[in-house]
Amino acid sequence: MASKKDIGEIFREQLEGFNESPSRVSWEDIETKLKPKERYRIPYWVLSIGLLAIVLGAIVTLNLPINSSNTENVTIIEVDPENCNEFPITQIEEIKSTSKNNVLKQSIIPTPKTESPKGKINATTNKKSNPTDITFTENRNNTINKKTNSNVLKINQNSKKNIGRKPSLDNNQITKVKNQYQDNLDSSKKVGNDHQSDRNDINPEQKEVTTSQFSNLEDEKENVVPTASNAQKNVSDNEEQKILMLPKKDSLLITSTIKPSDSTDLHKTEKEFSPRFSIQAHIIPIYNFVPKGSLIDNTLSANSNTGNVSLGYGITLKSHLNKRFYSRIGYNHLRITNEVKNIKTDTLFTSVLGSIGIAPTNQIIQILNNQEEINLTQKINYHEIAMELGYDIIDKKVITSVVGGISLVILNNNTITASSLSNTIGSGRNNKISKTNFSINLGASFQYKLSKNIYFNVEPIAKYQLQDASNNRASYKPFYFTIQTGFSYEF
Amino acid sequence: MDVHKLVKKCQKNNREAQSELFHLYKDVLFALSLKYCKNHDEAEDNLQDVFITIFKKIHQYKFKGSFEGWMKRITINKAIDKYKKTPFLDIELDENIITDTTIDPDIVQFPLDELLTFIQSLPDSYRLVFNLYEMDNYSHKEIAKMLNISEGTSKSNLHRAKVLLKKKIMSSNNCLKKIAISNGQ
Repeated sequence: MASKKDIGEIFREQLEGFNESPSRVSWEDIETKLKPKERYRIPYWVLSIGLLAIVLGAIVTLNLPINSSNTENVTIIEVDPENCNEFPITQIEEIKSTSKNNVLKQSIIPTPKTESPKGKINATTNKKSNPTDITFTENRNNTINKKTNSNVLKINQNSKKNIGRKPSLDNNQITKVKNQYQDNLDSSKKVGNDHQSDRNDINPEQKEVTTSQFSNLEDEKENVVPTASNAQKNVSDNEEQKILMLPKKDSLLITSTIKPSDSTDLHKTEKEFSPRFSIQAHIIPIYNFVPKGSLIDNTLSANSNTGNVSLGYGITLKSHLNKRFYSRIGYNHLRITNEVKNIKTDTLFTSVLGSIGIAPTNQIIQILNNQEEINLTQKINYHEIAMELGYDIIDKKVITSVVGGISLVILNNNTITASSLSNTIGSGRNNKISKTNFSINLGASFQYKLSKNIYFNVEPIAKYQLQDASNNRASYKPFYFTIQTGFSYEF
Repeated sequence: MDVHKLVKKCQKNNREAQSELFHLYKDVLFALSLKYCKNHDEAEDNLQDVFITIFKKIHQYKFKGSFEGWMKRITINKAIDKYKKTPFLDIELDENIITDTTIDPDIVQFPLDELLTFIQSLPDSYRLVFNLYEMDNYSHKEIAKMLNISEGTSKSNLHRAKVLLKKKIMSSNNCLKKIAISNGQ
């Protein structure tokens, strides 16, 4: 009998010079793979979801619903110039709306002459604009300057008779108004040079014009065309006002192209579409639905397989695109749990643990060897970046919306725990779990308003991963149900 | 063509030279892969990955040391990458429970394929350490660095690998004896 040798030495000696030809690998296969890589193609489902998100975003962005109408009511106010003692002043107001439809108002507002409790108007020349333009901005608590007589106009009380017209006009009347306005404009250009020196002489004091007359006139305007006046009040506070200097004997024309409801709607809609953002923190109970298969090993695909409830947490930032649509991006830490039951001990040690890269220690072997059957619990922790779109269906005390989107899930870590009736032992980690995956998310959101800015949220969302979660053949695509429960703060 | 010239041509991306190199070394590297991988399929996958890596990185070879050694290191590293993992419970070898890992060489009369199967059936971490230490003469220090484990764990895994191999050989031998006895009867 030969002397004993170390088993390593025996293997080394016997396997020395061992060679074997591969049956499957060929040079052609390698050559094919050595060719330059084709450009990475984005998977069709990512592309389609991206396109859908872009289209939805575009629809939402382009359809900012500012109520507007194509029909405009035109109100004309004519003032008898012969009854005016001073220069008429034509004021043109332009309101530049942020909406796709701009509302243009043109009116002639006579310059006030006497003191008014309301305040005064500061006038400044607009050097860049037409030389006949003077820009007025209203300043409520200011002093009176009586040197501006030349620019002051009184509206004859009789003018009321002429100016109270109904908003709707026929074509002839509109043409007449346009012609008159054009004439006034031409005249003003002609006399512009004459008044150039006047304008240049206007010092800051001279530019201050009292609004007593102005207020009177505004009163008149209110009497004459109340809707136009209201509209002007609504919009004129911060709007630039351009005033044309007209020759003394020119007829005075006040036109207004305002739809009565527009001015109020304009403010209303601006309020409605002010951007809203909110931040939400939540905890996430997660239930993992386990289909047939196994994330651990192919041999376990026939074993009883159940999902468990686990807990995650996360944070979400939400931005309203309009009154009902919103987009949101969030980070969640998810944990899905899956328990494989009734694994024979010898199967566990001979094939399962080895195949997933776990080397059980003697201690574990000793503990588990006494058991006939063992359960393995696989816990997988993911970092999830979720991008979702939502649509508010019901906007009441409880805001209800549907939510859908896509998530990138990145493996954080995973653990496998072996448990028998008497013991639970951490065995190791499964090295077959995929590092990244995508999931599609679909669910609902319920927001209960607790205070002006704080909401309580409950969001049941189902998530389905698009690729297998493990590299083994019997793997499956995880499908789990989450309930994001937390609070949000809107600002 | 000598290897030096062949490598030079391969570095210039010459397909014929690459093909020649593949046919020259595929058996050696496949045998090496078989020892480190769990089965033939995985060994073939590993071999394919190895040659792709070799041809992509061949310009990094500076003709210092053996070219075959350079390729073997790539083969081993590829296999390690495939199976490397950190054990959850990292318990080092207890010197008191060392069992005898020597065996009578006469008992080990198995075909090479079967010997290889014994090695392949070891858990990954045992198999990697056993091959690195016993077959390819790496030290425990080097193995610890390569596998990201402690030297103690490396020693422990080597010892367990040997114990398991001995058990497998003994049980296979008993089976053979029983078969022989039953045939004799």
